Amino acid sequence: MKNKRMKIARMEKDMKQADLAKAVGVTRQTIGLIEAGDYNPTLNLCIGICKALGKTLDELFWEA
Amino acid sequence: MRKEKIEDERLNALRKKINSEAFGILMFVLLGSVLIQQFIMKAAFDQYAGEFIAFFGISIYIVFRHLTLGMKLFGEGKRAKMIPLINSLILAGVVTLTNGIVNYTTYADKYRTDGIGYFLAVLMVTFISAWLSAYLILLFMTYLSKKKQEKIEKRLDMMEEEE
Repeated sequence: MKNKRMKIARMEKDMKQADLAKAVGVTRQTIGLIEAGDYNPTLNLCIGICKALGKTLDELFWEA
Repeated sequence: MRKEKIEDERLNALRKKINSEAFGILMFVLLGSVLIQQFIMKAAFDQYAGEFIAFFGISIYIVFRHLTLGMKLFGEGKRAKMIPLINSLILAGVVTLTNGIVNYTTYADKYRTDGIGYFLAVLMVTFISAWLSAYLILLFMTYLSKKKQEKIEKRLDMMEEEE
């Protein structure tokens, strides 16, 4: 399932996938795959992404 | 009631780590076996063909999978650009050293009578040809990797622009 919330949060921060990738120390491909729902990030990476985007885990990754 | 199969991610990760370590040891042993049989035991190729094919077959498979999955062969960052040059120089050094030892032990008498010049010339030619061929192969692999990366970047750009 696509992670649109993460994509929106990134765009709100005016960041490209490459910028977010650099901020959390992964490749752009990894960010692209997470947003496309083709890769499940580890908890550590989720936390890194949340910190970089100023969001909580719930806001970006929790699916009710 | 049917029991659900539980996949423990910690155990799975540990299993993968053990397999990865075992793979590293296996590759080391295969290469060691080939080199010892070839240069120390002076065995015929048929004797170590199995190990030789396994080692180089697995190596080619690793490169192929990296390329098809769009992973950079030499990692990320500025250092990655220098790796083909450094690796080819190290490889050429190892080939030259091995060749030098084998040549000297085989033709020591001739070198003593004809002088060390031939020996050094052979080593120089060996080093240059080994370095050039290794460097060109690594550059070609880097080129293929770069092409695949560009293709992926293009796809990501399209996905990023969507919506």
